[in-house]
Order: sequence, then structure tokens, then C-alpha cells
Amino acid sequence: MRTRTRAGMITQRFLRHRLGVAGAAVVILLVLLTALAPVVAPHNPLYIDVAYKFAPPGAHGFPLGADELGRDVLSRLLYAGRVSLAVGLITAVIAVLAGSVLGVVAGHYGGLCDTVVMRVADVLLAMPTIFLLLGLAAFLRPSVFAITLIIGFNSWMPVARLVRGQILSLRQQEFIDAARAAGSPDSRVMFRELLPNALAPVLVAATLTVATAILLESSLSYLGYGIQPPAASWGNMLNNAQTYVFYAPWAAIYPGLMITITVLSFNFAGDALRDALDPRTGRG
Amino acid sequence: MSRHHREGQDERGDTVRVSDLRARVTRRRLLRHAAAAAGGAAAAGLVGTQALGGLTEAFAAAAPRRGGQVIEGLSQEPVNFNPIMPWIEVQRGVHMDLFDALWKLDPAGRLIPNLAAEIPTVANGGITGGGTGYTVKLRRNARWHDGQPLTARDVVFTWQTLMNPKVTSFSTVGYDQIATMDAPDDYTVHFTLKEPYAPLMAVLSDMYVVPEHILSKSADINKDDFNTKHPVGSGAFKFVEWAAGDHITLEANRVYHGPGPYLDRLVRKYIPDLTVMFTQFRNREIDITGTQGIPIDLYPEAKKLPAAQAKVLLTPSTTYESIALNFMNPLFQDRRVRQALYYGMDKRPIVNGIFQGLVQEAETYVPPQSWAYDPRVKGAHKYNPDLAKQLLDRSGWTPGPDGIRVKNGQRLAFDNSTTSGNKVREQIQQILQQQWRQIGVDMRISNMPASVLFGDFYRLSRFQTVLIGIAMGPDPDHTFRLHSKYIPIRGGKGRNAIVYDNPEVDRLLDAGVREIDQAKRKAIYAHLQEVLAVDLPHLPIYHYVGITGVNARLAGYTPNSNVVDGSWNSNTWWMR
Repeated sequence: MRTRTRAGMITQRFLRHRLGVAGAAVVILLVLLTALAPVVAPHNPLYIDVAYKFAPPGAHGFPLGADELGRDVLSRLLYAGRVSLAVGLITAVIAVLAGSVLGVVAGHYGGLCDTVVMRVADVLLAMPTIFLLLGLAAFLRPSVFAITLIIGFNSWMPVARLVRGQILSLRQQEFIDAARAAGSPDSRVMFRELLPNALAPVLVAATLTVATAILLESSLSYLGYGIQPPAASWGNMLNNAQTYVFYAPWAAIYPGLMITITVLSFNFAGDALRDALDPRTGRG
Repeated sequence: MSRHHREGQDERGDTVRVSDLRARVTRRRLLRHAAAAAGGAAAAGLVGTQALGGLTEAFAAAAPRRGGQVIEGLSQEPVNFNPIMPWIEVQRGVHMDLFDALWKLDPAGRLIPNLAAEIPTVANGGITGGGTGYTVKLRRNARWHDGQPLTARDVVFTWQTLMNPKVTSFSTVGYDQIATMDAPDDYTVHFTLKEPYAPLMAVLSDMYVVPEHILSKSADINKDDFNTKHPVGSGAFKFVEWAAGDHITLEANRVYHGPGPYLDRLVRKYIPDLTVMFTQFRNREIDITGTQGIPIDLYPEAKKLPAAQAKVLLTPSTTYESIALNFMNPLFQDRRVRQALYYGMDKRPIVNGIFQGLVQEAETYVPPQSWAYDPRVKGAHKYNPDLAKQLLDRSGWTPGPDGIRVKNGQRLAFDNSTTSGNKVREQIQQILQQQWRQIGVDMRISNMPASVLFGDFYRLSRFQTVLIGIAMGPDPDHTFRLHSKYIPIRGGKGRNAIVYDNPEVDRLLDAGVREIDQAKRKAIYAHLQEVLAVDLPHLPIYHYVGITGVNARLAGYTPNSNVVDGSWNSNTWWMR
């Protein structure tokens, strides 16, 4: 009964955050559209016919125009969205899982274990992200899976820090002493008592990670180290279109818009979620 | 870095050579020149005795004005000014300004004396022993930039240095055909060959002579300050400074032995991004778009520039783009599969769609403007997907459930790699991928950075197929790409990375370099091209055409597909 009330309050606070609601709605819409791409897309996203190279929006049955090989930009955007969203969401899962486990372990055990995990995180955070990613990408054969792993590898640190911070304050509290006194093993204390109480900020961090990962995938693909042709991602669509931006702006503008809208939506939704979960920062 | 300049082409990746292209010469005119050269060829092969090419002559006649400077944009940075050391095209351009070779090749493929007083021929007694003995008389007024006279001993020293195993010279190919070289007097060079070697004159046109009086004292030529800080040449321009990462400045050598120089200064500015380079050209910040020139994507923009501001020159190149198939892979050992892939390739969307009709479809490695081009191979290959399917059916590859053919449980699938980030190449890959899927072949794209691709992956034949640009150079000899004794993984010192081993092709390649009569060579190379058109070790796609933007006020800039850089005649450039 108490939980439901709490969930109700959270929902209520979230819904009061108008930008957040809009963001969440856009995210849901995007996920639906890209998931249904085979049904929604007007053309085969890979079908090449150079006779329609740079057909302008609306011409020859291309609602958003055609790209440098005469492929339908709208269809490619939808399929590219699958890649970009998948990379974002899976990266968030990796970051949350790896970050939570490492953060809990570091926070709970402290000492050398804490030092090692946190210094590794510090070192990774201190490295210029894009160079780290390019270095890794040079060793792995580029694929959606590899790109996701690479970005995930680079995204767990903020989550780990966040969780560790929470654990450090939580483990001083009475209910942990109680759990210990009851004879709970370390694993139970860490994952059944500590972690659930640190979950709220992790959820917020996860939404923001999605946004960052989408941007990182775009950067990698934009630099030519990401998703390989003919598969589309918003990043490589933007990359392929950059030379033609003067006489075929649609090929660059739409993927750019998609990245911007998606990242903004995730950020707004994340903000709203933070406000909703944390009564201290909320306006309500 | 390549040890053989012929290979330089692909090893740089994007750089991919558009370098040798540039011409205000129309293709027809070029062909006419080539035909004239072939028709008038003396017994000794490439030889023409005209002092200057027709174009150069025309400019010389237009009363050049002295003064001014030219700024050329380069998308790569020259980092070594010693012409003995391994080079990339942009670097070769600077070598051409600073140094001289015995002779130059003009756009029509004729030899123009430079340090040599005249071109050695059988008729003037310069070539003896059926092409095994050469005597070259040097001009007497050539001087090094430090004032010392340039003599025959410098020429001998240069050859010895190239062949010195302790020196990481750019190539020994062709130079290793020379058995002995000596200087009977200060202005005579004499050398002998074990066997006749037809490409020799073209090879020597690229041997830039270095000063013995400086480099013979060097402890280690590979690392000498001469290479980067104090190069001393004999050319039309002297070295002033190299601001690393930014520019190179050269100034006129006012005691040059040849015509010119007319310009006061020549500046090479490093601009790595081709779009930025074009923007600077459009804003008149640079006078020439060097080496890689203007990308095809920007050609429509370039054409819109006013004629009074800029000329946009198109030059056929000796480089052709092709799919190279690795013969280590059993898939490509079956000739019917190679032929099916070629019949399944429609080049029209590439030539017309991507290149707007500026390039020509290729069926052979020899460019159409070369005297060795065999017109009978033109049209030998036509897009015929039905024939492609029949060939695959006959070799046992039958359509599987997903439309891709299978044989003994193996799918007809392979990887294709090229330099990542090269958009034109990625577009070609995607077009081929779609075309080949229609005949039941699955080509997967797996691109990598140029340094990785052309490192061990290509050289040691670890690839399946690559999309690659290969330059023929001024001579039709293609031994280093196709001869079985030049397979790197079998210890060969060449670039037959496709591991192509065909005794008939070996025999024709050998015959081609041993024959010095050009008419007979032409027949040998025609035969070779016909064998290759059937056997298909490479699947040629198109012949490169370079697009160069030049300030309309600059006179004398003459694109030349027989050299790797437009600087070959920078001594005759002047500003109107």
C-alpha cells in the first residue's frame, strides 16, 4: 500500500514536469516508429538507384528526399533510428549493470578494493573520450555490437561513482546494522539492502547515459569508425551528407535533427525523473 | 611506406592518386600527342628528341613575366626533401622544384633533356649493344645551389646511393637493372645493363640527382639534416624554410641552367581537408589545389567559379580503380566466379552517377591515353547479369534459401575492404554490393584506416577483396603487380599481393621489358591485356581523372599524367 502511494506521488510529480512528459512521449513515439520501421518505411532503406541521386523532398515519392545514392532518406532515418536507439539503450543497460555492481562493491568493502575501482574510473574519466573510443575502434571489427560494447566500456564510471557515494552514506544507517545483526551475508547486504535504496539516482543516470551514448555513436560513425555501410545510423548519415550540405541540405539536416531531438528528449525525461524521484529538488 | 614508387598509389589510401592528373590538354589532344610519339618512335623506345613539349614551348613563346609568388595547397605534408628517400607525391613535387633528373617526361610521354645535354639514342650513339650500353653527355652549366658544379660523379653517386643496402631508398626497381655505372670524365656518364630493359629511360626520368660533395660526407644519409633542414639541389628553386604542419617556402634559383624560373617564390601550404582546400581556392587564398585536387563532389561548385578567376583542369591519370581478388581464397581461384563477378558489375551508375561522366570505364590497367593501350579490350566486358548467373550455375553455385548462392554448404560471400572515410569508395562498394546481391553473391563491407589496410593486411595478402587504386606510371610494365616472382608472402619484393601466378602473364611481362622496340612492345602489351581481360586477376572499374583548380592568372601550369606531381615544369610557371 505504501509503495503504491509512493509510485503515485512520483508519477504525479513527473507529470507536472511538462518538458519531461513531452520528452518521454517523443521517446516512446521514436521507439514505436523505429520498431515498426518495416511497416512504416515507404521504401527499402538500402535500395540504390543513382538515377534519383539527391532527389529533393517530395519528389519521386521520397517524402524527405533521397541521398547520394538515391536511397530514401525517410526510410533510412527510421532504420538508422533502430541502430542509434539500440546503441543508446543497450549502452545504458551495460553502464547501469557494470556501474552498479562496481559501485556497490567499492562502497561496501572500501579500502583497497574501493581505491582500485575508483582510480580506474578516474583514469578512464580523465581520458579524452573520443580518442579512447577511436583507439578501441581500431582494434575491433566495427559492428553494432562492438560499437555498443566500446561505448558501454566508456560509460559505466559516472554510474559507479554515483552508486558508491550513495552506498557510503547508506551503510552508516541503522537498517544496515540491523541486517548485519540478523546475520545477512555480504552479498545480501549489498544487493538486497544497499542497492535498492540507491536505485533512484541510477535510473536518472541511465536516461542521461542513453543520450550520451547516442551522441558518441554519432561521433564515431561521423568519423568513419562506427556503423559500416550500407547500414545506416544517424551519425553515418550525417557524415555521408556533410560534403553535399550546400546543394542537398536535406540529407544532412534530417539525421542531425533526429539526433538533437532524441538526445534532448532523453535529457528532459531524465530531468523530470530526477525531480520526481527526489522530493528535495522537486518543485512540488 | 612503399619502397616502390609505383605502388605509392594505393598505399596512401585516400590520397589515392589523383596526383598525376591534371591537364588542360584535352584527351583528344593527348591521344594525338601519344600517337605522334608512338609513330615517330625511334628504335630505342620512348625516345623523342624535341627539346621541349609543345605545350611548354607555347608558354615559353608567350614572353613570361618575372616576379610574384604561387601558393599551392597540399592535402598531405611533405616531410623529407631528399629525393633518395621514400616519398609520397606531394613530396615528389618539392623534389622536382629543388632537384633535376637526367631528363623529364612531358605530357605526351616524350623525353626532354634536363641535366643531359641530349637524349641518348641508337642514332646518336648514346645507346649501344642492343640496349645494354648507355652513354649520357651532361650539360656543362648546371650548378648546385651552393655554387659547386654538378658533374657526372654526382650522377654515379646518386645511383650508388639508391642501390646502397644501408640506405632506405624509395626504390631499387629498374635501378637494379644497371650493372655498372661510371664517369669517364666530368660530363659523361656511362652505364651497362646485363639485359635490355625497356622501362629504363622512364625510370631514370625519376632519378633526381643529389650532391656527392655534401652527402658523401654524411654519417647516415637516412637521418641527415640535409633531408629536412638543408636540402641542396640544382633545381629552379632553392629551399628557404619548412614550418612543420604549416608550409614550405622555396625561392627562385636565379642561376638555373634551364629556362626560368620566373616566379620569385613558391609556397606549399598544408591543408589536410579537401573541402577546406577548395574553400581557400575559391577565396583566392591559394593558387593551385595540389595533388588530390578538387573532390568529385565539389566539381559542380568548382565549375561555377568565374573564368577570370579560376581554371578547372581535368587530366586523365595512369591510375585505375579496381576490385583486387585474393587468389589465396579458393573462391577466387575459380575463373568462372571471377568472370561472373565482372559480368555482374554495372559500371554505368558509378561512372555516370558518382562521377557525372567525367571518368572512363576501365577494362584494363593501361590508361586509354597510353601508347600501350589496347583498343580491342574496350567493350570486352559488358554488364550481363544473366551470363553471370549462368557462369555461377555452371561452377556449382546454386541459389540458397536467402537468395545467396551456396556450394557444399558454403555461402558465396566475401569481405571487401577499402580505406574508411573515403566516401566515393564507400558509395562504389554499396553499388557493387547491391548489384552482386542480384546474382546471388553476398559482398560484406569491412573498411579500415589506410595505414592498417595497406600495412600487413594488404601486403601480406590477409584480405579477401579490396577496392584499390593502382597506378601504372609512364611505362606499361606491370611486373610488380602481376608477376609471380613479386608476391610478398612468397618473399618477393613487389606488390603482387593478390598472389596471382600465371605463367603466360609472367612470360609476357618478361618479354615486355626485354624488348626495346616500341612497336613490338605494343604488340606484347596488347596480348597481355587480352589475356588479363579474360583471366581477370583484378576487376577494373574506371580510369582516374584528376580535377585541379588553378588561378587563371598562372601561366605554364601543365598537367602531366606521366609524373606524379604538377611541379614537373615549375621553372616555366609565371603570373600574368
